[in-house]
Amino acid sequence: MAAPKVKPLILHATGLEPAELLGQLIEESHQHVCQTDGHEYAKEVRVSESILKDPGGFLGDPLLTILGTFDFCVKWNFTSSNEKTRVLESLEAELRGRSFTDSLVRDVALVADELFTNAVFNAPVAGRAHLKPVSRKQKSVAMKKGQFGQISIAADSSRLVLCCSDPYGSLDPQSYLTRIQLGFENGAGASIVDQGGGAGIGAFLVFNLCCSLFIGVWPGRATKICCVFPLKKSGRQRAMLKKHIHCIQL
Amino acid sequence: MAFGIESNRIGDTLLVHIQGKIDEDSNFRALDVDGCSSVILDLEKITAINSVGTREWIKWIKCVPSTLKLVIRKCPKNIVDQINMVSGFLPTGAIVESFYVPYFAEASGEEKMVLFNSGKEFRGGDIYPPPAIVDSTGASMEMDVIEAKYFRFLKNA
Repeated sequence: MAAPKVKPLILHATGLEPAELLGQLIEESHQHVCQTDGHEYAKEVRVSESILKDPGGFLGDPLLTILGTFDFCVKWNFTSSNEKTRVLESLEAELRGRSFTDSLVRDVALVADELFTNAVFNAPVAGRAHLKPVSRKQKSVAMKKGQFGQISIAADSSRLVLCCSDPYGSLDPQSYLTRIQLGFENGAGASIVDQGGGAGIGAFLVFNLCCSLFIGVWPGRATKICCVFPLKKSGRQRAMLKKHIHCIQL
Repeated sequence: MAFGIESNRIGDTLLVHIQGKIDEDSNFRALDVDGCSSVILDLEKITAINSVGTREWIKWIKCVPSTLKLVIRKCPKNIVDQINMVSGFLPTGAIVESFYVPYFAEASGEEKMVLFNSGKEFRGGDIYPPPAIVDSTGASMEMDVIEAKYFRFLKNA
């Protein structure tokens, strides 16, 4: 009797558009999809192999796992929605001070905005059906005492990585990925949620702007989402890159 | 730059300037369009728009009566991206009078935003780019977009 086919944990692909790429994780259960026509394919594969050997290492220090060595690393801790302006303005100033292009700074800042919002507003209530979505108009939403989220950035010569972590570990990767996929399949407009908490297109905007997405979840303990942005490329070149995607769960 | 909306009337046209970041803190007040036949939205000074801002924008723009002529002027790239990505970002019949197109110089790495105007750099769904865009060194700059995607909203207008 032939042995059942085992799905590779790293899928090496070429030319997949975002919806198809996401389908490989959602429907085919690959953990990593690296595209040969994506940014720094070989490095992306090495990172995937490293994560498969030590997923806890990624969740402990995702920037170190993704980049290995970096030219700089800056971190901002936050405990409430009130700190969003402070964190994002500081992040933008840091990037502009390092002479990254205006278009890249704007893209990174928007992704940071969406991830911050997710960490503060969505993460505390995700998977808890009895809790209502938190209105984005609510003046102040705070994490519990002793808990904090973190935005961090680091870069080497060819990649800038933005990471956002929260202390809840409540993200459901399947739901998150499916929501992004729907945005690409049906258009973002169809995904907008009129009432309640978020608008429903934040994850779509995040994946649209980065060239590689890492989703790491340690249930009940931490969620870490990392976005990779290619350096030394024009906006058009960045937009043309095929994407990589990774899903890590402890 | 803090979010703000300022409007003033010129004849039967309401000219509205929107500035700053459009997000969950943006307070979109209703426009007083009594006696107006058209509304012009000048978006040049919008610096950013996030997902919640997009939702708030759509709710607000839906309140502009469909009987009025709605003109959008000086759309920055982030707004053009939303127009292309999010159906309903602009109501049916809204006219884009001008928008910015990013240019990039490979050698210097410089970026520049160039204003495209209706009737000059675009007519209907067709693009007529300016002949020569140069950076601070005089080197030629190229359009820094995937044209089929960036100009898609013009084909759909």
